[in-house]
Amino acid sequence: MIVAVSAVALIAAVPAVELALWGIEGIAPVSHGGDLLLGETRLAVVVRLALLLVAGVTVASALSAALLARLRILHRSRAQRITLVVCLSLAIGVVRTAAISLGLPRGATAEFLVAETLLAAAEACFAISVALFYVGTRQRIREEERRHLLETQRTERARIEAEREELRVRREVSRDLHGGLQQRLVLAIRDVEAIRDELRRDGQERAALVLEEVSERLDEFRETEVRATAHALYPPAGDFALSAALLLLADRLPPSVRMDVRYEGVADALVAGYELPAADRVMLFSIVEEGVSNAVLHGKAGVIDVVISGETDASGRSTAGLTVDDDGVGLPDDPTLSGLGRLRARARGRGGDLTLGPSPLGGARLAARVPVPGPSSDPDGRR
Amino acid sequence: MSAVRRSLRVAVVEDEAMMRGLVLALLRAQPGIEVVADAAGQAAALEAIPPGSADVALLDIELDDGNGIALGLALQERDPRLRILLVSSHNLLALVRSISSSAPSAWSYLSKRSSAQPGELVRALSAVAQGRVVIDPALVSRSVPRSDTLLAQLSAAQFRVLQLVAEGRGNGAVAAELGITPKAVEAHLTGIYRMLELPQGVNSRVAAVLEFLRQSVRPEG
Repeated sequence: MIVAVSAVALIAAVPAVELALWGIEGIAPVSHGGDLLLGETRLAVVVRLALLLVAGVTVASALSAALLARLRILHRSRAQRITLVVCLSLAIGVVRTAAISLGLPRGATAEFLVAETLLAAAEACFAISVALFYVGTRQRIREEERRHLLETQRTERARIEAEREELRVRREVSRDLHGGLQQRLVLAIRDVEAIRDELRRDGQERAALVLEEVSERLDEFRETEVRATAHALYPPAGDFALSAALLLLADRLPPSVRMDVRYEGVADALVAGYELPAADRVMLFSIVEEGVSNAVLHGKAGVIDVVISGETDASGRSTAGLTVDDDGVGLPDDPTLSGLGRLRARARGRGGDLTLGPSPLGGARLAARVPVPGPSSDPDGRR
Repeated sequence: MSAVRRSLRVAVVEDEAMMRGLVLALLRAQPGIEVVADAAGQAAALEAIPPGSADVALLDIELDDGNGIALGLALQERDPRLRILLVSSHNLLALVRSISSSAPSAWSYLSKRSSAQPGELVRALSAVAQGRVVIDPALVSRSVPRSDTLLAQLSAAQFRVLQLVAEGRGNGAVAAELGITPKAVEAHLTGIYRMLELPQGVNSRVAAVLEFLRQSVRPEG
């Protein structure tokens, strides 16, 4: 639109200025003699001519712009494009010259008309070419942007899909561990205990003691290994809201540790509840869990403050933020991220970040930001 | 008021067929317990358990089409008199506690290990039906008071009494377990309510159990 208007203005403005110059400097053809003016003042003739020209050129330009759009000139070959532009420019030149001769009752010399037509055609050709170049560039940029956006969306969808699938498999394996392996171990332990009791009744106390030890080891294996593996595969945040998963986390801490969780901004709507896709919940939970277990194991913390925040910026993009502060011994001089490295890579992979630094509480601060889907933008993400 | 004592109506929701079969067989063999509905999933359960049809809902937390917690909330919203006994192989006690503070009646919670033992499940169901809260004995015995809490200031004897109450035992059973008189148990309870700064009243017992859960943790390993 802007391009069309500026092209028209350019085409119309140049001859108008040219005409004004005629009037002022008294050059041909207006300066041929007083009789040319037929009683009109020189200014009136110039103005009439100018209006006629502007109107004519405007109409011609608008028509040619529409025509060029209709001919899909941007999609044609270079030769066709040049031919079209030249033809149109000549047509505009002819129209303009016709308009000028209408304003000159006595007519003008053939040389003047031809020169005038060619001059106008050159002007029009220049203006149209500039406009076409401008429009073409804009269009290419827009297409590039659209392709890029599509590409990004496709990648994002694929990532979400992959994460969802990964989580589904993890959930399945985790449930198999819980339901299958664990139950079978319970049964095996019962069998061992039955044999132990039998041995004891027969007075074989030493053999019974050995079996007792076996059953204890099996039970420990069941209790710690299987449970821990199942948990690592599929933390509770997959099935529950993040806030619920954090309650469960706090319940497993040593009694000397106090963990407080605070929610800020639109965290309730965005992060804490079920709105978030399961993969995002699991990711945020894993970050907090890693920070908390570092604080307890390495930092020897007594107080852990977790802050979960959510915000949506003006362009509608939402971000979940979280910090885990502790009052422990703080970071070693050269902190290695170990378990956090993988989480950091994940956070960065989707345009977020994860950092480790000193905390105002005296210990370490783990801070992370992760872009998340806005509230209720993806109902399929619910679980 | 009917003179005949009605049997305890139980609805069972469990997605694993084998476990469901075991539980149903066990409960059907109990005098005084009537299984009024059984379902494998959330949607089926909402259909099979209309309001007023059951006294206690025995819900597995892991369900294929949702989870027992959401189901329990939905069921109790329709029927506030329904009592909920959750069963899980995970330790989800903290969730149950946080729900209980706003639910029409506090929820009870057994781990799948305990509920696989017949006596424990039947005992829990009848305690729940009597309005008590039952928390899995294994989780109760693993509970440790958090350092900076009122709970940490209870005497060892008081803490032991509260643990047994949290398992859903009545005063008589607590007295028998500890070898003291029921009167002594009552005295302990009064002391516990005072120490935990709970108002004296009908709900003190349940409130004390919820405080016990809130002010304690169950560390792993």
